[in-house]
Amino acid sequence: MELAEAYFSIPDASRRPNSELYEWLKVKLMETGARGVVFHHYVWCDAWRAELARLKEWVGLPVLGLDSDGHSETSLARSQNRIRAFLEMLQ
Amino acid sequence: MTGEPRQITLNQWDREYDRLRAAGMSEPVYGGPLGRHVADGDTRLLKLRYDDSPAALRLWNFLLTEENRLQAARDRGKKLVGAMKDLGTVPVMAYSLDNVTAFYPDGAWWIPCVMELNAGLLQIADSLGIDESFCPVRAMLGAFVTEAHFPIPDLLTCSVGATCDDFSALAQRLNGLGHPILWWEIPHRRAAEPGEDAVTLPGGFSAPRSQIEFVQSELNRVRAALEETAGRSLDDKMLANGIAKANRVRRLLGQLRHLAFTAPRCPMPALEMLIAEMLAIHFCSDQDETIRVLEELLDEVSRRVAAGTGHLSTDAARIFWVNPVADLQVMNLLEDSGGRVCGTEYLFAHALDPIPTTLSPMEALAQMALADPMAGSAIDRAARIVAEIRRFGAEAVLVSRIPGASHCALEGEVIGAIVREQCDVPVLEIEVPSITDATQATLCTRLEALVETVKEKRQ
Repeated sequence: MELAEAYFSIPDASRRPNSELYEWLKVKLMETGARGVVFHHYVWCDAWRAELARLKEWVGLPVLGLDSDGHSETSLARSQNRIRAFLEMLQ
Repeated sequence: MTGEPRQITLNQWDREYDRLRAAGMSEPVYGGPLGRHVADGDTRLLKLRYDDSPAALRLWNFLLTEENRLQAARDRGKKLVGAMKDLGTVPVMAYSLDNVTAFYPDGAWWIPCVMELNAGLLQIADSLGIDESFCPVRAMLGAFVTEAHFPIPDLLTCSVGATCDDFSALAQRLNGLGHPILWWEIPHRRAAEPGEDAVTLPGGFSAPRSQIEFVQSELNRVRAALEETAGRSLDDKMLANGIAKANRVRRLLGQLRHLAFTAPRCPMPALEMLIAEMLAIHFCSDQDETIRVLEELLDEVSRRVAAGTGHLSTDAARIFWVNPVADLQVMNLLEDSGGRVCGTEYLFAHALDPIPTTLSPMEALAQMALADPMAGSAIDRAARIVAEIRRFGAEAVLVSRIPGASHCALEGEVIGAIVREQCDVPVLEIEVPSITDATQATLCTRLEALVETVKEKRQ
């Protein structure tokens, strides 16, 4: 039962509706004073990929959308470059 | 009809229409020449070839006037229910209420094809972050934004869980745009574990009783929402009547499929058969008229089979078709290549099986929903395909992938391997986007090669 309750407390993008994800994120953004959002998703993950545009509309902060296959060197280097550029933009 | 049936162009149909009208052909209110739909922007119709029977004309006119029918239903005060991702369960419940009309917003996936990308629906989906990495059903998002292809429904339902993840994602996007959705969950169908009560579902799959009870509880939520929308109760007697009517549609389609897929000559082309089968899941917004359309089609097919007439010759390659096509023209290409469809699995095979009438209506509907081929493994789906290949005597299998649809990328190989092993028939996998103009030469070559392989194998 505890495992089930813990599972249902995860604010995942794949929940329907997934409004809890946005409620959770709103709290976290306020708590941390975040100035931007890095949105990472795996290339073929439709559930997360579909959230990127909605998040950009909703969040009111700069958003960096990063996709990757999760395990290649080229993907890592590309992501590092893009994150550095994003950080520079925020400064 | 007398003589040999033909496949004719839209312009030929309009001339034939004038002749039939002059000869006294009667039509339903939505009748008329097919050419008028081109003026509405349905330009792909100019490139298709159609069966030349009045029954086929009625089928096409029925399909192409759904938007008018929905608007008319709303004008008459009926409540509209958009049953998303649901392949044949919620519409059965909705049509049990006489003041509700259900439709299938996902059907918008054919608009980019029929309007040859001119409606701009895919561009709208792109702008909303739902790009070509998703199934062409993303066109539905554009249709909701423009409100130009169907009225915004009074109630939107969407099945989620063990259904298409592309659709789930874009339905969530729709929800995020401000359209409330009643989500109901379908679990991944599994076999009963030791100690669990196993139930054989319509169509032959099996599931533990606990899963059926869960789906039934989900459908009870849908029932309550339908009652609230309709402003009246939906009791078991009404549901039983609704199931009886849905079963009438399913039995007609069963007879139609049997004749069309087993007759020595092909009595009805693949394209018209595809459109007819689709009626099982949504009734094209009029359940009673669906029955009349199918009855007329069945009469025509029965006459042709009795007379030994048909399209193509008796040696046409007998092809089993898996998955619906985003571009309707591809169905014509099979016949151009010397093949005929003898068996189909368009992802809603369960919606062609009669709904049990010996159970309580809600349990019967829960069993049907859980029998959805997409709710289980690709191995389950392949087993059903193998059984149908044997039943219809198909000589090859064509797996038609839908670009962007994640399940297609994974299922085709599994289905192909099982079919090859168990039926010893060739399997061809193709990909069909909304418009295939750029790849038609390649497609034709591949289809011709499949037909040649079948004929070679006969010797």
